[in-house]
Amino acid sequence: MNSSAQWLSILGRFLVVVLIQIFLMDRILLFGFVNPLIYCYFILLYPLQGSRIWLIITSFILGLSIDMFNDTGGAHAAASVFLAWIRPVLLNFSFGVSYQYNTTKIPNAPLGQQIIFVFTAVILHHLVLFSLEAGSWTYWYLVLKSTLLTSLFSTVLILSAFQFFSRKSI
Amino acid sequence: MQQIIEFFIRNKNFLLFLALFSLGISLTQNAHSGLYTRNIASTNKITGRVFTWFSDLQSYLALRQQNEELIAENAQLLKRLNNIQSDTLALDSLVKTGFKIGMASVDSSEIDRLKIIQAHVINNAYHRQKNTLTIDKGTLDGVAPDMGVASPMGIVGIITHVSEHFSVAQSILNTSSRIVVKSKNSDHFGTLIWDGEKPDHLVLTEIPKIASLSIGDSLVTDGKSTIFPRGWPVGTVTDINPAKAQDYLDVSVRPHTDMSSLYHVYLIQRPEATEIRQLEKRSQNEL
Repeated sequence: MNSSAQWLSILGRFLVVVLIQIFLMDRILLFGFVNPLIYCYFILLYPLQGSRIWLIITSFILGLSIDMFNDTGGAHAAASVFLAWIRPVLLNFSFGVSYQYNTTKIPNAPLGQQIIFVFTAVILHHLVLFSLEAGSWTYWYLVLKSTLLTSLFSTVLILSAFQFFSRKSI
Repeated sequence: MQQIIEFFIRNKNFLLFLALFSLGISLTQNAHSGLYTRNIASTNKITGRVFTWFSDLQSYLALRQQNEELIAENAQLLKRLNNIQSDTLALDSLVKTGFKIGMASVDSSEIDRLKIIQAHVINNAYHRQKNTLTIDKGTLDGVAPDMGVASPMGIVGIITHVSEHFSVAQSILNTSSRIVVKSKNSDHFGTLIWDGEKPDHLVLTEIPKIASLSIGDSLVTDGKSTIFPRGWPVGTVTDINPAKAQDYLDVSVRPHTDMSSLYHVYLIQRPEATEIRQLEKRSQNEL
């Protein structure tokens, strides 16, 4: 793939993820408080050989866009930047070193590895997000409860998005 | 010098992460303390337009439910009118003592003096700890910070930020929300807060034991706060427990308004609010 086509596909994915998050996911409230966050999909599937600097910058903009629509200041932005920064560690942890030689595609990897990767990433992201949103440790019990439950649903959604929307052949 | 530059180049990812992460945290802190940068709030032009568009679509799809609510409100108003007509004699004394007439127990001469703006909620959150409502009226329509927000059923929140066309209100479902309310039948008052759990469950604290509340009692605003007039409906008592502090009660309250389905709201301003606030400030400065 040449680089301008790649940038276009990244931009397209960015817009689609933001629109789905705002108009679909933010209207869903399971059990009254679980609001699945599917936009981590963008950060997780950012091209593996892409530059880390750009991943961190685009993740910040992604989080900030979500923040604007949710009135949450910069909580989503901070959590997304954190996830973008820690992503290589998680890749190494779940897929081994092989991902560095560009031999793996995440949606093609064994399902067990995919689940480990997505779940650890999502739970770290949500923990940072909900702690920042609560603003203090007074409500630590609620923060942990929403982190765990929301992570479960986000993980399921992101994994199904992997299966449905990723071109496996390339 | 070269070593410093090399250090920066080697750690550029981490430094960038650190910078953006702290920027995100400081934006969050600002949002919590109420010092919004106007660009990052949904009173912002772009997000405001997007939400208006979406809520127009939603309100079109929900016209049936809205109609039913308006019919119910109409019926209530008609009943009130009937009461007034059939009961003109008794009315005078009732109004003077500030007792209940129809829906609200607000002194009706006070209702006439209130500045009331009709508005719509275009974005409503109730699943976070610090919930806010975005409302489609702004300074151009006469909205100002510290106005009260109420639905036809009861209080909903307080305006905190205003731009030209939109405003943001702190919902009563916000862990920072503190509203002074009293029992309808007595003058004992307490503070209404939210514990962050369920959208239909509020907590009344700092109310003395001698207030003799019982389950099913109605709560109304107290009028001390200058935001809501005295006697505006709030909710009903669903449970009463002794508080940790002696001689006080912890009371569970269910708000009259279904906070998860809000569209038509009224913005309320007491005309004497600024005068009271200025006087109180002056007296504090001099003491």
